[in-house]
Amino acid sequence: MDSKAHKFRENAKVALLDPDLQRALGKARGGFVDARTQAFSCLDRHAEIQDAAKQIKDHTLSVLDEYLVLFEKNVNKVGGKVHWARTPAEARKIVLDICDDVDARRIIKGKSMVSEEIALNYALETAGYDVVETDLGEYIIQLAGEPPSHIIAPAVHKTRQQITDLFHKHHSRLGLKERVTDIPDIVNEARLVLREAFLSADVGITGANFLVAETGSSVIVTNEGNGDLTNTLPGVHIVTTSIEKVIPTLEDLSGILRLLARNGTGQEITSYTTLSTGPRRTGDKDGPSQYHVVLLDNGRSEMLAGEFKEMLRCIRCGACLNHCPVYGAVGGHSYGWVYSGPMGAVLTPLMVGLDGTKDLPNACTLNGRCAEVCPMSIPLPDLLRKIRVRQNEERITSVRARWFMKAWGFLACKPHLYGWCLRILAWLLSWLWGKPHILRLLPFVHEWTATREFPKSQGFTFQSAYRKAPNSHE
Amino acid sequence: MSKARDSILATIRRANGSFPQLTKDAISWPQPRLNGGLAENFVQSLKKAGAVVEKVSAEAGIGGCVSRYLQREQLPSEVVVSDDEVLKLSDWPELVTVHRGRPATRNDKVSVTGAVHGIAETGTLVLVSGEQNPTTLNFLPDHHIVVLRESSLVANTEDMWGTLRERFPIFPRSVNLISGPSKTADVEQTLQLGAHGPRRLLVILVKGEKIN
Amino acid sequence: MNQPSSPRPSVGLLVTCLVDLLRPNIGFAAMKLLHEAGCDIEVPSQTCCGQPSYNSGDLETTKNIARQVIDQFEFFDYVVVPSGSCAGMLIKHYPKLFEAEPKYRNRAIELASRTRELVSFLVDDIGYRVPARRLNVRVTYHDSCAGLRELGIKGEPRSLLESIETLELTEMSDSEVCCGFGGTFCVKYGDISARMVSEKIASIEATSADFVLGGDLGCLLNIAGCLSRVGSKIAVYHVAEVASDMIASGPIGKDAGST
Repeated sequence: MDSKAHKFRENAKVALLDPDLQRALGKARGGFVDARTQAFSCLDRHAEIQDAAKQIKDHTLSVLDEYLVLFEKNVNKVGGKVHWARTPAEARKIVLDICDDVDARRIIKGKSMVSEEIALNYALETAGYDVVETDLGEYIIQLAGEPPSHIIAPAVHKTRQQITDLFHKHHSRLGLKERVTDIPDIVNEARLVLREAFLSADVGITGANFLVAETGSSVIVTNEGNGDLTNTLPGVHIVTTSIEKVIPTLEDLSGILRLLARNGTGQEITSYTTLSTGPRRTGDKDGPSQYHVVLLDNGRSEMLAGEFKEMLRCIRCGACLNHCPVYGAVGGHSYGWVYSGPMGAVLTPLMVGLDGTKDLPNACTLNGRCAEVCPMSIPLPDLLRKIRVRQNEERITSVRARWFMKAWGFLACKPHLYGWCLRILAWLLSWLWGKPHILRLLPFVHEWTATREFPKSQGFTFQSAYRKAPNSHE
Repeated sequence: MSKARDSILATIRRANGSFPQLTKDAISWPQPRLNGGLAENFVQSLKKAGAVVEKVSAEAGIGGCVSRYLQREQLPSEVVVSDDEVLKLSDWPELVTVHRGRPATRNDKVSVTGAVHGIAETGTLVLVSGEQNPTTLNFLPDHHIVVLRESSLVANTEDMWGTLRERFPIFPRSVNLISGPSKTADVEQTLQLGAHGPRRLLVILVKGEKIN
Repeated sequence: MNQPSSPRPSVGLLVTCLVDLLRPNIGFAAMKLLHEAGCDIEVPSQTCCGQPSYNSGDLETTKNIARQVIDQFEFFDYVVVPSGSCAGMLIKHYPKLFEAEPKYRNRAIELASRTRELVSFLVDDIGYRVPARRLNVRVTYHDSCAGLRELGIKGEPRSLLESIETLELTEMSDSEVCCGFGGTFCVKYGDISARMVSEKIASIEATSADFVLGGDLGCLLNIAGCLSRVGSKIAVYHVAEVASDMIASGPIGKDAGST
């Protein structure tokens, strides 16, 4: 999908005033946070596990080429095929060629953020394929024609009422005329409709949470079971994934799995963790006869050498989104691209460019809650600050803001002059207090006074009072 | 080899060394301790995840346990059973129609499969695909019944990978770690069982050692 | 860790630019507490720690300011700051800032090792206890993000407050969630900031406390501005103002009068 991140401000304004969205976000906010706390309350040796997770990812990334080549070798050994794609366009072409090769008509999909990253649905639909998302959340937003608003809960922004309306609109023509309003009925109706898709699809596309180099397996972690029907029923299984997902061994998978679901949904473990290794074997009575892994780069290999390399440890658990107060206020769509919240505010500028993503790294208070919960110890606020530095260096930051900072910086390095300016300002602010009609004219002040009273200053500065009477505290 | 492959690997190799060089052997995963016995942990976790657990004292009792479940749930007396060796040792009550040796189809309501291991830490069943074990049995029917020998329980997944490596020199096509029935919370974060996979998961734990 | 060079440790007070401009009372409250704690206090000529430029990505400006802070403050046993975020700037960020400048980097690391947030300094380093002061109020405490997450300050302000007899501390829900201030964030993204602070004051009001306290003036201004707008009676003070009983001049955001 094209990035709409340049519209962050407008998007956020609309989001803040959308009562349905606010209701949906309100419900999600506390739920995820409490569930995570609960899930970790009973995990023995949490801190040590987190340390090991960071180390194993760092180790893997330090010799990533070796693990990717090993993964490829092991996929080949069991009759699968690995495809390498530098760009989203290359990845789309690989998938389109495979589908074309097997004369596919209907394609079913399990949730894959890489597939969102490469805008695969649009490409497949444009090429004339019938594409059905099967994760319930993804299915809902596919019906709505929207991108996901959360990396693990794509339809978290939708209320039940909105889902009822969507189902009614789209399922009526399938003969399901009755409006379903209760959650069990909604889930049942989706099950009924999607079952047909599962049983008639030619190609199944899933993502991968991990790739295990040792065995050549792609791993998906799900609750619904749609991913498993997707990778078992159709004749062709395509995994759309990216190069940083590889981990060395099965034991490493065990270790990281202890963190993934606890941080995401707050579960100890999800209902299904599935390792897929190649196509159906001789004697197998089901399973796909072709198995393809599409390995996307899209800027990741470049990140490896630079100051954003730590972002490659991300396992897409969603904890940073769930704990981000800005995400909680404006929702995922405000960020304008597939990744949102703190991890999205780092990844989007790096993947779609600093131009057009100006607001993402700035719309953050650097409160650090994301880094505090991150199971991979990614210093998200530091990375956001580094993007701000780049914006400044590349003059993406507005001229006004840069000059303001320079002027203020000049003053701040002249204590005497600064002291005088501050004294005048203190007096001025005290005089202006209670004169909102004048205050409103000052730059930035309206952003504050729209919802908050302007603070009353004491009319003098600390330093001026202190120099006059240094011992007044004794 | 493709141009994309070469170019990606070349970029990665240029970056090698930007991460701390830590040998794999220097990293060890701490394993959480269990509070209590294997079976106790296993059963508790599974129940918490919404599964039903029954115990039988010998393989012969599996069929009866399945039959009682079918009656209780008011299901038709018809099951698809995998060729897993543990299931071959069971007696099946006459009123239950048993289909064997085939994958699941859209009309199958109940499947019965074996599991190679159970993981006590998380209440996880480990199912492995193969000639005797079509994967569709694990996901397509509304009710999935899994039979596991208590002697196959291990504490953590780490205790199992070594055995799997030995048993399957070529890693199985599909390894399914199942820790509960299918569920979703995609509508207003409200948990609902039976999204796309089995609505119900019944686990039958067979006491005692494997009989050869 | 440096050992104080004399029985009375010398303390350089970095008062912070916000306190200097908008709430001198906090500076005097800090001095009173430090004096009671037996410190020799000096207030070197100062401007700002450089956070505004640092968080705007202007590293050159920040380094110029930081060099000046290092030059002015490196002679004290301790640098004490009545703000978690400004203390965090000196402790966590100055050393990183000079990664490529060995001379200043070493001085920055040295300065960082002696820099303390006011309340954690009083409680952890000095073992200060509030002398017999009676204050019949129910208070709630907002954990400012930088103090909490960069410096791990959580128990210190609470233990300081608990040493005041008759003061009742009642915890708000989500006391660790950001109030939406975030320096220039609150005016760059005023509407998002407003949503965040309105949730914060909902938690505060639910406690039916008389005072809401915190350790960072930025957050307190934000909270006070929002509380006043909705007509709340809850008064806002810096924790140092309450601990030193320097609240006579009125709460933050209201007419604080003169000292």
